[in-house]
Amino acid sequence: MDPIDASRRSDDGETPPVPRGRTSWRLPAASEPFVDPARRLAALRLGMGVFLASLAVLFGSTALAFLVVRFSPEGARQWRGIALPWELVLSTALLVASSIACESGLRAIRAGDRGILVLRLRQCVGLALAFIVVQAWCWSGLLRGVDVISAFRGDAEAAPLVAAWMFVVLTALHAAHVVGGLLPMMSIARRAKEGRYTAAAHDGVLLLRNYWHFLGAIWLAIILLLVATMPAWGGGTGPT
Amino acid sequence: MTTLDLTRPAPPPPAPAEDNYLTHTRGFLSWAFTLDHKRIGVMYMVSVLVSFFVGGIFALLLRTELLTPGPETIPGITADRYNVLFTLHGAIMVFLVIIPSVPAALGNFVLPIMLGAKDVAFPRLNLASYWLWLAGAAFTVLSLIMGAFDTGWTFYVPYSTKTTFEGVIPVLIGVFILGFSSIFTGMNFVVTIHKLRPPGMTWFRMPLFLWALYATAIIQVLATPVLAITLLLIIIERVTHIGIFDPAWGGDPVLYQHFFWFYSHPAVYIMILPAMGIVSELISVHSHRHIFGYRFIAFSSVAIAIFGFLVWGHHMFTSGQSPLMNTIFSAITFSVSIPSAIKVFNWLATLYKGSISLNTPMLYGLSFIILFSIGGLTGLHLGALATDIHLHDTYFVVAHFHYVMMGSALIAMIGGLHHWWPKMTGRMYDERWGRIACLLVFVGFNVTFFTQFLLGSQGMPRRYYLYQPEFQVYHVISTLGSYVMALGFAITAAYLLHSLRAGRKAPANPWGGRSLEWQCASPPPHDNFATTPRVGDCYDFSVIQWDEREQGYIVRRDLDPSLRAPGAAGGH
Repeated sequence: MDPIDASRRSDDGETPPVPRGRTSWRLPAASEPFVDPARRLAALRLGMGVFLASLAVLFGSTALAFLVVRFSPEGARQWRGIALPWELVLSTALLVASSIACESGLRAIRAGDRGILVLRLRQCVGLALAFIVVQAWCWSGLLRGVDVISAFRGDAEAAPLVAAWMFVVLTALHAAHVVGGLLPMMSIARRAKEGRYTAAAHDGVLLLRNYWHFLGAIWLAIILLLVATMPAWGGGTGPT
Repeated sequence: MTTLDLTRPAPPPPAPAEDNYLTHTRGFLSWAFTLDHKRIGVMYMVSVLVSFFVGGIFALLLRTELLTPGPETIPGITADRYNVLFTLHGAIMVFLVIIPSVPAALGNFVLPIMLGAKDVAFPRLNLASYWLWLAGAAFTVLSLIMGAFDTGWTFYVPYSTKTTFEGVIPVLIGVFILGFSSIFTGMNFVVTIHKLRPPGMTWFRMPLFLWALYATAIIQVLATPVLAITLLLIIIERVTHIGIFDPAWGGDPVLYQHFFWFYSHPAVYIMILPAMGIVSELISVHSHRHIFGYRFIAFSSVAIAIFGFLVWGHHMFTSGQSPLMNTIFSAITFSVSIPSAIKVFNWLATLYKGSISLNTPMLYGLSFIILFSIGGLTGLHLGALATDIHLHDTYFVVAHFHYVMMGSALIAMIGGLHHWWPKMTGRMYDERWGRIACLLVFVGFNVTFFTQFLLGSQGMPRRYYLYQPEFQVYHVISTLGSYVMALGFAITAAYLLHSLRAGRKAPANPWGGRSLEWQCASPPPHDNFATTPRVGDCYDFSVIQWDEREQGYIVRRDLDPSLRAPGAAGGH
């Protein structure tokens, strides 16, 4: 999202004049399109909503591809040999906990408690990083038994590659968005520490909360899809 | 040797440069990192036109190679290189030219000014979109360095998973990145139109170009992610050899076609809808007549966007899809013709009894109506199950989509470029040369592509390097037509560039337009409007009057009741 800095706006709500002349390497000041902060916030929320709709289509089409491949004759044969990694339980718990921390941070700043906001955002960053680590552990376990060299040579019989890779694609796509959310989350945590959010103005925290809950909901949908289509829970150590 | 003459008055100091968006800041960085939507629009336009030049050169090489039925009409153009050429021509023209040309280039420039806003809702995201476009284009260039690709612009599996050309992955990454650029632009436009309309501009007082951009943005946001994941899956399949789409590895190639066309058919509307928006502006402004059937045109844009999501299967009638599915897709395809026809009839009704000025933009607008009608009506042959079996993968298809994508979308873009050129540059181009060039483009286009309808209906397959000698006469005519068209575009480039140095200074409103962009200076100032303007009916030309002193049109605000009565315009 567009991180327009509310502090740039002058007290009377007018945009300060943009200086003329040669610009430096830094981004020049924009002509602030919104004078009214309430309309600006509404625009940011709508923008986030449109962005999330686009992401929902992205995840929906990936899930569709997963299902078609899963129920193709080749997929059905290969899926018999692969189990759902138990690490998913841990990563799900971590993501849910991070969502709770994010929500708690938003409620704290609404109550004017900046200290709790900073603490909750840091917890959220830590939990998200732990989620990524657990996912990486999960993928390495799943692909451990795969003969990657044979796979590159085109030997489809080497291992149940499709099942393992489709699992990795689906969950890695989600993880990429978690990583994508971590960067603004760290920036917002820094700004929170600098005291740039108040009970009245905390647009960044609000948008982050929306995005993070969306990722949580998508994750739960992915888990439901995997539970419905994978034969059983297993050790996550590759093909059985 | 000079002497100091104290009796002569000192020369006046040079007048300060006029402050507009072009002169507001200077230097390369002031452009590279600009947040001004107008500069970003201009950068898109330059980038798109450079890509158009490159794609056009590939097209001319293809047409020249096809002058004879045998190999190597041009020495060195082997069968493999021919495949690379048509692939590059298609990929560049679709992904780098037509998709961004109207929304990202003209849309970026015009949309906020038409709304009376200072910028789009998210200026930084807008700049990021442009840099993503550049990154996508850079990957496309990288693919050439790494050995190019010969899959056709559709990247059909198993071509894209099995080809030995090594440029496939870079170009797929490039198109993937271009998709993000498109999504972000769409997001920005949706929010801008929702949240930055000025007082008085209700949804049904919005210029029709904005309705078209809005409908396009919805498609960009909701269809492009499907392309993104599809291309990502091809990359994964090509690298890991797992069977997702490739039948040799247990994959499903029809799944690829479903995914690809779920994006790429709506993408046709990403190309044509904003073009239709431009034509609505051109026809009404240059006829000096209120647009006929405003609401019908507005709603037909939305209807086309919705139908666009439901017809992708008509690209797959010969793929083994079930007869029931084929019938359903065929029926829905025919339904798209209803909103399209509504637009054409309304444009014709606008022209009727209008005071038509045959300026260059208007000539392009009229060309659009003719070419789009031919392109649309020949689409019915391809939407009908029986005739599609015969015409599928022939030159008839090539001719049809060129009539729609080039004859309609690109011609409208060129028309829009001429329409807003005085606003963008502050200079008028030579009208006489503009009309000559438009005529050459129109004639050249029809000679090139109408001939291909004949070729296709007689069975000439598309993408063939060698062909039967009986087709040669058509190929020669088609190639000559392409040269005439290229001459028309070369003349266009020449007089537009010439106008930058030697063109007459453009007035604020050279054509008699009524929407807000014609009420700010040419070129517009950095902030567009000092205060948010009030809005009347943007197609009411009765309040427009020629002003000798301005050498342009002015809006008689005193004649417009919606502008005179404070508060009468209402909110939104």
